[in-house]
Amino acid sequence: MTVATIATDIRRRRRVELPAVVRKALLLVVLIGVWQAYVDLTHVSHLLFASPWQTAKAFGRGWARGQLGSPTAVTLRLLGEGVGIGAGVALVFTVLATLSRVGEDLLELLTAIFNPLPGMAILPLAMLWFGINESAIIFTIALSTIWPIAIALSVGFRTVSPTLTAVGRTIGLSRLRLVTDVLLPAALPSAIGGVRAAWAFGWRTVIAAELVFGVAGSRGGLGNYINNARLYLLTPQVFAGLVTIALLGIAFELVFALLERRTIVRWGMSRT
Amino acid sequence: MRRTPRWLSVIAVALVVAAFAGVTATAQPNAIPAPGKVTIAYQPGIGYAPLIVLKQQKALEKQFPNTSFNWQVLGSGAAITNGMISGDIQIGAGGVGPLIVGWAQGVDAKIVAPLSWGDLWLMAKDPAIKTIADLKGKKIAMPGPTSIQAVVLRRMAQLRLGDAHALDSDIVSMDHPIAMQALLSGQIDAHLTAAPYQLQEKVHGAHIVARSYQYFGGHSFVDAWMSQKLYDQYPEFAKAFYNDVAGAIALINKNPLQVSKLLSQDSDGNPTWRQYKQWLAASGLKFTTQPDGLMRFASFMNRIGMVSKVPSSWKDLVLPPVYGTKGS
Repeated sequence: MTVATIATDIRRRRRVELPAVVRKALLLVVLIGVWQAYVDLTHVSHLLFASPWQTAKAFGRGWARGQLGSPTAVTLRLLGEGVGIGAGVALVFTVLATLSRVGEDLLELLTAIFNPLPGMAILPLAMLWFGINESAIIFTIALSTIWPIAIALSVGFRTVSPTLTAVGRTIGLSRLRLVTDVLLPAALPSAIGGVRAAWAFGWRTVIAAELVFGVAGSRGGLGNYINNARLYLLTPQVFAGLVTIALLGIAFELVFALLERRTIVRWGMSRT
Repeated sequence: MRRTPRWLSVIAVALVVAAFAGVTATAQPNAIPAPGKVTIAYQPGIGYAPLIVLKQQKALEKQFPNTSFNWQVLGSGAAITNGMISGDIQIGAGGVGPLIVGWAQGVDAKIVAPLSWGDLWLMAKDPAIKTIADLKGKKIAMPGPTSIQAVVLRRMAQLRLGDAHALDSDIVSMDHPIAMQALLSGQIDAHLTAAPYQLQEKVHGAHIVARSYQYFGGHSFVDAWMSQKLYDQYPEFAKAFYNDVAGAIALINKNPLQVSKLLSQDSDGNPTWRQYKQWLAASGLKFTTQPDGLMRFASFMNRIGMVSKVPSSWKDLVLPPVYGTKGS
């Protein structure tokens, strides 16, 4: 090994020693710098592109005046209701699938049919069925979250250690109690993974649905906020809406990571 | 083998091209410089009839054989403004709402040829909806929150409910053909629209709750827009376009029968020309290149906070070919 390669090796190792948060923060600062430089150097039209500074101003003003707060609340509520219903239905389906052969076949069939279908593809039909209102959006979110949760749950159930189920049977648990007391806790890591995936699907669906939907004003969510800003040609506000969505996405990730650390990591079912 | 020097062949090619260009130039001594490609976008509705006449007569295509014209129908004026910003659309057409919003935000789009005036009706199907006040909490469809219909709705809300934004959260963005279906099938409660949709809705049992002329007087409905940049580059092309639109408008006013047939032809025979003839006669539309009410709309939009500034004159919103009309 030459001196030079040792030197780079040491340098690389030293860089690795920086905490992840600091590394990512530095990278973020660089990215924002590039963004600002792009706007300053190319003099791109303010109608097409907002600078980080303009975005930050629109973001601050939007939150201070409540113009971003209420759409965020609406979007989160829609998402919560949609994912909640989706998770509930998924649980019922999966339990049925565990209890009976027909249930299992049904779940496999429905998953095969609906899982590849993007949630948004259902929206036009949902608008016909439910009308132009929130129910249509919630239905669309629920439909796009049932299947990832169901898949994750049934994988979780299927991969439960046979020893555990055998013990459960030996001590004489009924099939339902076997599900609630043995399978569900054992499948928790998969369940959390499923909800996490469903949340991501639902998040995409709710924003897209609001963009199509176009109910303006106080009842609108973040997608609507962005669309309105576009119609009024307020590009910094479009960017502020996008930043809000990105920050919420990061917040979800942190919440799920925390949830995992508190439950399955602490209980030794999984490592970080 | 002897090779011809490359520069010699370049010169030869250049000479041939120059000679050819000279021939074509002499063949068309009066050719007006025009862009190579022009996309013209308008919206559904009979207010755009002058453009449809040009499209069906291929007037522009014949006049500018070296330009490829592309016609598009989009659902809202905001979509067309967006297309003009991104450079996909060279000539757009729409109501004064998106035009003034665009102007205030610095979009390079001005009126190159006004198309029509129009009385816009607020339609409802439920007989219980009689006045503007009955619309609170209901769903009111229109192309978007910046459309001319939305401006009209805010004026109605201001005068009847005391707050221009009282009905803002009831606006549902839909293009007119879809909104008409939604109104007639009961998915929405009201539709602030234009001809021919308001006429069709009336035939199918909807009634008029309010009309825009009651609130703004007679006013411009839709206009064709072009960027100042394109105008500066091709002023004669813009002037020719204005003259063509004026010609189409003269034809609509002189020979509605022939125009009805052209409109029907544009929609592949359905609706029929008889239907179009009836609509042209009854629509509350007036085809003219005189823009009217631009300043009334702009100052109202400014007063209620839709735009942050007002043009100093209606001429700020139009290009030179329109200067001669007695606009306002």
